[in-house]
Amino acid sequence: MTRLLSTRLYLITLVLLISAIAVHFTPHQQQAMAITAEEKLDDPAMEARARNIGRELRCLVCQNQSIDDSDAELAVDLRKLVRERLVIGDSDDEIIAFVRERYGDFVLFKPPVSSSTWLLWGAPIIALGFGVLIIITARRKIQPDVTDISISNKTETSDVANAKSSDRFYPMKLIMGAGTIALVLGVYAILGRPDLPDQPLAARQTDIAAERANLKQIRAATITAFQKAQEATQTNPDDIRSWLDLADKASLLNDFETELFALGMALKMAPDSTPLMAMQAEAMVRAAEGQVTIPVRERLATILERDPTQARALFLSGLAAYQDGRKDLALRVWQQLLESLPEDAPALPMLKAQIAAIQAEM
Amino acid sequence: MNRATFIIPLFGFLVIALIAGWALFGMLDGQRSDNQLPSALLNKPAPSTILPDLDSQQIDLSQFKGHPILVNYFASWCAPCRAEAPALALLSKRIKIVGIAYKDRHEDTQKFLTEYGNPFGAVLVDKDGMAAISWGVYGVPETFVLDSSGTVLLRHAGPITRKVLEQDIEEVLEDLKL
Repeated sequence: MTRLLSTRLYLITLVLLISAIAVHFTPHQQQAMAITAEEKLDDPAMEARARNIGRELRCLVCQNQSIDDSDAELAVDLRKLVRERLVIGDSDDEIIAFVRERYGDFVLFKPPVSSSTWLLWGAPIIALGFGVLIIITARRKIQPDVTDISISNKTETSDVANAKSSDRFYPMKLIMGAGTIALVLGVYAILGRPDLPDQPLAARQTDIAAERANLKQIRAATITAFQKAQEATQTNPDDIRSWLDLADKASLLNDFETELFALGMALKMAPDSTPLMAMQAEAMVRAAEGQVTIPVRERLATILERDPTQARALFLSGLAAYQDGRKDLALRVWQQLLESLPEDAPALPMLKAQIAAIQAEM
Repeated sequence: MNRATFIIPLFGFLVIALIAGWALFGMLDGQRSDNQLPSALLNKPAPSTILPDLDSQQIDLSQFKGHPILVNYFASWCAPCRAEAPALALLSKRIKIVGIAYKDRHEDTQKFLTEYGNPFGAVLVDKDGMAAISWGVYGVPETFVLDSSGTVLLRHAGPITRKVLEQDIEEVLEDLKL
């Protein structure tokens, strides 16, 4: 029984080790390159050197891509610089040193060993040594027992693992040690290899394209709806709903001018409607890039005089207080508003986020 | 079973945890945070820079040695550069400012200077952005303060906000007795 168990443990450890090594040698996807044909050097050997250097250098604008993988302008410039220096006859190390002198160690994907990075570089070796140490100490403890057993039973002496009777923790220690080693190798193979490619942008490319197409479609639909609403106001200029619809569609397109015009037309038909006035105030704030301007404040005062519970106006007056630096007042207004709103109000999540943000600031 | 076989790994783990914790705190405490880009040129001589000015006259930056200067990389196409124009105007009363127009067209630079004011004692033109790379510039705007010997005392990436103006730059200017 014990022998069986130990053998199993050995096998499991072995499988872990082999899989870690297998991952290490699995060929990985070719990374997407941002280098254009005209950037390339004519001499293929020189170009290969340029690629090797480019892979080592971080694009400082995007930070998690190498300069070879990035389309950022600074990355293009750095690629140009690398190639220019190669052509003059600089060595690879000289070029990397040149860039490092200017941008610091941060520009290197492989951080150099220094007082602040020795732990980073040493950690795998320390952990590996740790695993080996566990196995060695476990083995040493059972050595005398092995000889004891050998006298009584010759056939089983070769199996060191069978000495479990002398130290029942032996299999556990063994798996701990081997597990540590496998873990270190595994983490290295999956995350730590220097030849690992950048974040797989290529794999996400189709998602990005789909998302873009989707956004385009939504926008096209919004524009069609806007045009329809516009036509409706022409055929039904006396219907307040057509103007409100146009204002709504215009706001979706950030067309503040049309939105304010449509709300103005609607207000002419219902001059005493406080919700409508509040909508107009909100549109004015949006048109002013979020600033609660003085004309808006005057309107808010009028609205709240007539209807002190008008939610939109209350929210905006809270925003006005916030913009004046009176955060406590803003918080009070918004918290009162939060309590008065029904559970399913569509603005609730936005309001909660605002309150959380202001609380974090205070 | 032996107690040591358990204590040794435990002790080893504690030692590693202590070192890791210490290293982590050192990192949190240290210069580099996510917002602050590392500045390799700090306390080093500014890179030699010879660039044409707006009249295509070659100007060597080292000619300004003898007095502290502020070097500002800017571009007409860069919105934060407009935002920091008032800050530069204030600074120009205390220190000579050398502007370096980054990847910008002459006429655009001229227009920018007439529109947002010209705080610069001299404007150099870095057409292809290669001088910027030699200064370790990430992107415009970026600001450097050099002492009279041409050593970089301060580097700030991004627009000069009120906080940067009143704290970081002020501190260096006071050290320079300006």
